[in-house]
Amino acid sequence: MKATFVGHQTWLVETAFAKILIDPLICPDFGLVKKLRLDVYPPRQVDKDAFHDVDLIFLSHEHTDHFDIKSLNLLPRTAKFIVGTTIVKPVKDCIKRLGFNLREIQSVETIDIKDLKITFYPADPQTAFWESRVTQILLEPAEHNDGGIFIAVDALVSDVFREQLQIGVVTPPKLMIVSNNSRISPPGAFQSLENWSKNNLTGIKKTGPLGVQMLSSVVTSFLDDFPGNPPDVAMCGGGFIKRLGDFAAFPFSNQSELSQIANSLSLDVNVVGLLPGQYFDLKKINEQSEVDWIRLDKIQHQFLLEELQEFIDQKKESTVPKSVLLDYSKNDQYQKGICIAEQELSAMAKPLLMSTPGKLAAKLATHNGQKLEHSRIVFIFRCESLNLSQVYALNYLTGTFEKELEHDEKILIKKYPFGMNIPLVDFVAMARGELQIWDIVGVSIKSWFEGKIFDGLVPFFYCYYGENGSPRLLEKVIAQNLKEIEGV
Amino acid sequence: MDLTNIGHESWLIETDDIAILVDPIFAPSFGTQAERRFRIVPPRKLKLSLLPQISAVVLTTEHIQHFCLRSLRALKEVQNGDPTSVYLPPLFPEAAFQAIERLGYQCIRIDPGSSKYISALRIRFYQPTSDVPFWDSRVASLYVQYKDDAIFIQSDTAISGLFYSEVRSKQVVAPTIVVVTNNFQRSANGKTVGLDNLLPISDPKYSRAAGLRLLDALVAEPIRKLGYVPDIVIAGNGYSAPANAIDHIWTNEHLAIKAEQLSLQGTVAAASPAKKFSTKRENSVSPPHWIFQQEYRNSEQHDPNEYDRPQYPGRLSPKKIIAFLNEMARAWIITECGQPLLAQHEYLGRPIGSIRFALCLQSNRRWTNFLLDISTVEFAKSNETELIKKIPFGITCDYDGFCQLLNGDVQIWELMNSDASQWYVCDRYKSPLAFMLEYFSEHVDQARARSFYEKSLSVDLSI
Repeated sequence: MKATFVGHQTWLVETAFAKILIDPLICPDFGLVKKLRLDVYPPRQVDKDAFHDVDLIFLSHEHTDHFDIKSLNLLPRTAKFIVGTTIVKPVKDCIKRLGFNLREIQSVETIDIKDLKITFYPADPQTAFWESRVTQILLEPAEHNDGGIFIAVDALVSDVFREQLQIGVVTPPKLMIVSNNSRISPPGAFQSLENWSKNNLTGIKKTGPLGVQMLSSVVTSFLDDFPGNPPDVAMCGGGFIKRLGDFAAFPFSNQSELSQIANSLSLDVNVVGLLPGQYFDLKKINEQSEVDWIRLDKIQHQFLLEELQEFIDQKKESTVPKSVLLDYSKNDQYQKGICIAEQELSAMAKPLLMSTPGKLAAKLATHNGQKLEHSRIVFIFRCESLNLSQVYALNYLTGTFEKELEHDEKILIKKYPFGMNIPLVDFVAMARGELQIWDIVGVSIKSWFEGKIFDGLVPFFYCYYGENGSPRLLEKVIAQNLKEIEGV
Repeated sequence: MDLTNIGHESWLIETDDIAILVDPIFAPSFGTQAERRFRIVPPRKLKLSLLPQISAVVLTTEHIQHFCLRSLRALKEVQNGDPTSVYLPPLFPEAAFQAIERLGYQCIRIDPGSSKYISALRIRFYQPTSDVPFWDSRVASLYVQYKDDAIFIQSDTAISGLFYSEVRSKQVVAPTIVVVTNNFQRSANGKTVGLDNLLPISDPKYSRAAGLRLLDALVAEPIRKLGYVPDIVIAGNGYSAPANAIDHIWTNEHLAIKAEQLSLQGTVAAASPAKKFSTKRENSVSPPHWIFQQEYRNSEQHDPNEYDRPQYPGRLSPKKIIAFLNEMARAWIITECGQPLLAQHEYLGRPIGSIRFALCLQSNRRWTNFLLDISTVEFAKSNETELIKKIPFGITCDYDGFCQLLNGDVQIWELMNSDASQWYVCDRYKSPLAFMLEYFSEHVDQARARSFYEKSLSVDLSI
């Protein structure tokens, strides 16, 4: 059995007879909004003809870095297609509309594809809400099963699978494929979950051995569940770039370099970090070789690495853009946007009060050593092109949003424990299903919060405006994609 | 200081100079509707004209077992416009605040960590510092100090760690009386009320010597944390539900007796109407002459379902109910209570599809069902039967009762202790009705709160 790394979190698993393609991104870029597609990193070209005889396409979940309609459209409709039953309906409908024969996996279920036995597992329920619909997959030889490959991307390793391992009803896999989603930003840059109230772009939190904890948790967190010898571990993920200022590649996203470091610190576990086009053969674990249908753009890869190093060495700083979409240029556009924002806030108040940040804000008595007012969560909608902004705060006595007259972000950060500063044009587009929350976080949104990294308003937006909380919004984004594809 | 129980968790606190009321409920029962009344037990009758002059009222929460607008109105009437002030916890909802002010009171929220003085009486609130269910998170317990004496009254929430540390570090005078609240109850008569489960699954709440753990939490834990032994008064559970649907399995009396048997020097007592406690232990206290104990008549409790209720004029069409449910689903699915819906992949040994919750509404023995599909996060009407055997989460409820909830005529707490039952395969605090307790709470849904505050003033529960 061999696993070829196609890029980011896309894998092709092959046996003598069967070919399984997982989470296919096969274009140079991906994304559901045409103008906002992200480049796969390291950059590579994939020859789609290599997939003409694929037996099965499997989609672990609905996020755009796994579910790329443009890529799917290049694949043969003869392949079987499988998703988990909890995947939101617009995704299932889209796959069917593209002409695939879709099958849904209900729960833990095993199927045979030629000489392969495949078992599907739901992600561990402790997984973050926006990754909670992930299905994980175990691929094993149908006969003489001496261990196969388990792919656990983007979620905690399934509790059902771990239990089966411990009681010995499943053969321990030889290779575990896990995600490194750290996407750490270098000093001088910010990230999606950046806390702007504690923000000091060049401060201590951005420097030091940040990769140690990340690498250790990615590689070791699930190993205790293996009763006997630990498996080999392959890392993938973080394989795209979001261009922000003068750098693009994320630090600690070079899986090949990371795996060498990990192996120098391990006596038993073999950590594998592949470049696109390289594969791992379960029969010949020490040989890594390359396929000829994926071409790594080595020059561009090197350039991106150097660009990142230069950003760090020269202590550059990135700035927050005005907006992701073209900003409003007319006052009436802005006024219409404000009306939509007010409607959104009025609907959002209840779920927000019941959310993690909502509950945390209710618990606080003081903020920055000052007595806390009754309004505790604030949204700034900005339109830099017109030099306008509107601010709304959630009043905990009434449970409703009210206008806040203060517009200065620095003062608002001091006054409110939770807040978000977002371009109105981007917010409106997200609320109308014209772009996705993922397209604007870490780019034009600034937010601040108390508590841990998942306690802020951005994770709340992942839930509320993401695919899982708002399938209707995803439906609109998908409809636009299908229109573009079918229009061609 | 003297502390008199008026029934359930209503109190009168008296000093030599003044008297205040805490969470006063005067009528024989409470609730927003005459047909779903929660009777105070043991029953008592109050002669309000003999009530001492009241200087102020303190409310620890807006929950219906503590906050009764009709009683506040009656107090004004009987005392010729006095008292004028009502003291409230920091995040007391604005809708309730305004409803009180409309009765002619001045409301004062007390900031966290600060005290207010009513002449020489100092009052202070403590909100829970530990994790408590959402609906208890803004409830505050009350600390009252007069000269060298103090009383602490736990409300329907956990006692704050801050209270214990302030007592231990002598920042506040250590109370000689600590009132603790026993909220332990279970479903009676084969019904399923509260957060109980229609499925016969063992619930950790009732297992592993639950009563012993309860007594330890009520009596021993506060003593451990205080570092000394005050007089402990066990209060709470002083009401019965429509159709006697709630069983207060371990009564305050029973718990106090067991605690006494396990004590070397008895200091544990149970609260009941007219019972009076004094911070000066040597004082013999005379019973109040305005509270009269009454005989308890079981027959007074009737089952709302046993009567053919007239059709509710505010009945909503299934289409309107679905529109409401879809809005609710979007909030539910992303909260902690929505997580079990997503995480459940099997039920009764069978894999399940994307339908994870059923709302089953009954009217004249006919069921109208609404099913939640998590792949669309939307509801649809269904004629399927025996849903409890197919779908892992569900609520059964009277059709009109649910419409009353949506129209702001009844509170979710009343409904779930009379008409609504549920089944689930998760922790009770993440169950469907636990979600609804949050979603329909006065803090989250102030429009509905305003509606039932207005309507409740015209309800007559005086008999």
